[in-house]
Amino acid sequence: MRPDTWGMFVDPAILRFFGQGLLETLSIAAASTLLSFPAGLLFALGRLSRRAWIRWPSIAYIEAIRALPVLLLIVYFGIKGSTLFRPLFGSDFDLPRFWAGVLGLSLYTSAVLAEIIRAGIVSLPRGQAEAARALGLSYAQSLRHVILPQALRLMVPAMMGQLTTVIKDTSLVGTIGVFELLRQGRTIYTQFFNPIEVLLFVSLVYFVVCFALSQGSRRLEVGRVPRIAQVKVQELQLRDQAA
Amino acid sequence: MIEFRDVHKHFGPLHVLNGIDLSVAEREVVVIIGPSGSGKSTLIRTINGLEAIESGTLVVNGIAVHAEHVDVNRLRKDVGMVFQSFNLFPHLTAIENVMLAPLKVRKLGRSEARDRAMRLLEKVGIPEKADAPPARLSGGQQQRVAIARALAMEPRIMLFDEPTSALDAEMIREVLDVMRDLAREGMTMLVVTHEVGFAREASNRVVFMDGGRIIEDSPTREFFAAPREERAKQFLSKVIRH
Amino acid sequence: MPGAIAFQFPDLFFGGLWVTIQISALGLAGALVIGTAVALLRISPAAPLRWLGAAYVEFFRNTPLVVQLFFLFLGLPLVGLRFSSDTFESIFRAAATGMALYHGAYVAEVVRGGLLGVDKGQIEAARSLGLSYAQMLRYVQLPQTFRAVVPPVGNIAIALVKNTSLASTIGVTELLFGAEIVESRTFRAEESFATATLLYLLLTIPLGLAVNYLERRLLVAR
Repeated sequence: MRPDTWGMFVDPAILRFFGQGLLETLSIAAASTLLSFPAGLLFALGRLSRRAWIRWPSIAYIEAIRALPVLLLIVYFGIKGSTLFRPLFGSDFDLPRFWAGVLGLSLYTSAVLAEIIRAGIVSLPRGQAEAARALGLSYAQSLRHVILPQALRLMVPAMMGQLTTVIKDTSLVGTIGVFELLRQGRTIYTQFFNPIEVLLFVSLVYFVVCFALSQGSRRLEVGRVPRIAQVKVQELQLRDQAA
Repeated sequence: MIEFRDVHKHFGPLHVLNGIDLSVAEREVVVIIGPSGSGKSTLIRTINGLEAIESGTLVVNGIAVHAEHVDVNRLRKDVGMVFQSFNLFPHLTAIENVMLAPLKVRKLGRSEARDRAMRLLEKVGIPEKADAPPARLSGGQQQRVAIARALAMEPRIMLFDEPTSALDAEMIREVLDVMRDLAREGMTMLVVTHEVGFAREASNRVVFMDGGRIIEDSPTREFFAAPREERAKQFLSKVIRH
Repeated sequence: MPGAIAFQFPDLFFGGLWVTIQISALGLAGALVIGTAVALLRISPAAPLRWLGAAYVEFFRNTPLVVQLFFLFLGLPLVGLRFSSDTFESIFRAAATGMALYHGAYVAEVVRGGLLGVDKGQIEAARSLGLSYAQMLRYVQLPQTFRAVVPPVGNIAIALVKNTSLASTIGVTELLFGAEIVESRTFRAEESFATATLLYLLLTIPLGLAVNYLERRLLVAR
């Protein structure tokens, strides 16, 4: 360690540099979450559909994506993202690296959110759906007004838990050239030759953000989560807390 | 053998042991009765240090349990305990339950431990269940294995904490029979129970507790002939009726 | 056809897969040891040990694994700690160590849950037989947690296999890095990544099915 380099962490210019990285990190996380929530909801409903041609592709998507390393998805979109979209946006289209990273992260996160939401839905007592249908509500109406409000509320802590995973995973997007927090740190330590200090500082920043989020999700009072949903959420949290 | 002097203990606002004075001599069988929450279980759990006491002195088998830095494990080798909920180890067979402490605490050899465990299972009347896991045993059988397990350490004192409360009527008998034999052999025993019949036949003394205090401490025959204390009388009439 | 390219570059694909398997196995073994030790700290009767265990778990779970890998790879040699004099061996060991440290925190929480799930009467019975605290842990409490922790540890193992891909960021030629190298040589991105995908699925899907099977059996048994 080089004691003389600790002083840099109070230098406003250096801090601003880290701040830009943190902002990028939070933006990637926010964009990925916003994209993956509706997608996750659709895949959750797809997996619960009675129509096999909707159900099976949903199952295949969710299970295949969850079985893959998120870094593989990110690297793939980092390399090939642009060409994939050229048929849509024209031959000179160039996918910004930021969005390539968001795409990789969202693909993965949507599959996990789908499973969280599905766990919430299937854990509701059967009587809820039956009562809604008995009142004459259509399938869509009973989802919209009875099932989803309950299921989503129940799953808020689990979804917030996944958000900490998304934030940790943004550190992978640096590998395709997005200047998020860790990548900014790498730029600094290659200049100042102080990786220990910089990595400790960067860890601290990640820690504060993630710890606050995970404590927050633990404190949330949303009522009793049924055991079947708890088991599923535990499985998801262990299997999909990628990096 | 066991000597309580002005022992106190609280659970929060509850004064569970309120100035307990009690002495038990070798080979004595003492039954402790009283309404639930009267402190009976806490009392016997202090004897092997499962519960700490707050003030007073408690000497068991020459060891001051209340003293700091006392080796409770040495004490526990001489004090066997049987629980209401059996607490057999589910991952071990009946005989392995009995062998565990002799192997690990007394460092006996495997074959010796096994022989002794088998003899104890014979003593409690279920040698044929030696290799069965606890889940395959009836409640009465589990409790008899638990008694054999406690006896395997060759304790000088046996503590029974409501050993039959979780059992059906016919199983209660088989457990009480084992306890009666033990009493006859001269084991020093403290038994928390609602089984008045057992108290009457097998014990030398009855201690009645209520509200953390010992209300009455009389020889068995006297206690059942004419309890001195009103509360004991009331309690007894309630217990005997059903 | 995806997969055919694997036979053109067997060193990078099958060799990479083998490295992935090795890091996974070493990392899991380490995570189990670390996780059990930290769980025992977490339930220790001594408060400072409990805090130490909690600090470990919270630190490793709330910081990204890549940062931890960079630290092991770049930071430790600067304070004179080297995994090996050979650079390739050194980054391989750094990766396996990182996997063990990070996933150890998750294992710790699972094992702790299992330990706390053991009925209190079991502990009292063991203690009243005269077993010491360590003997009670070894012969009574730990064996009883085994059944309950197998499925969750299986889930952690799946996460671990996927996370070995992060070793590519410090230069370990495991499966993902192998695919990246092939891509950079051939510019056949689809084939390269589809092949890596197939090979990852070959590891994680059977693992996932096994865990689901165990989970269901345990849920029924309860």
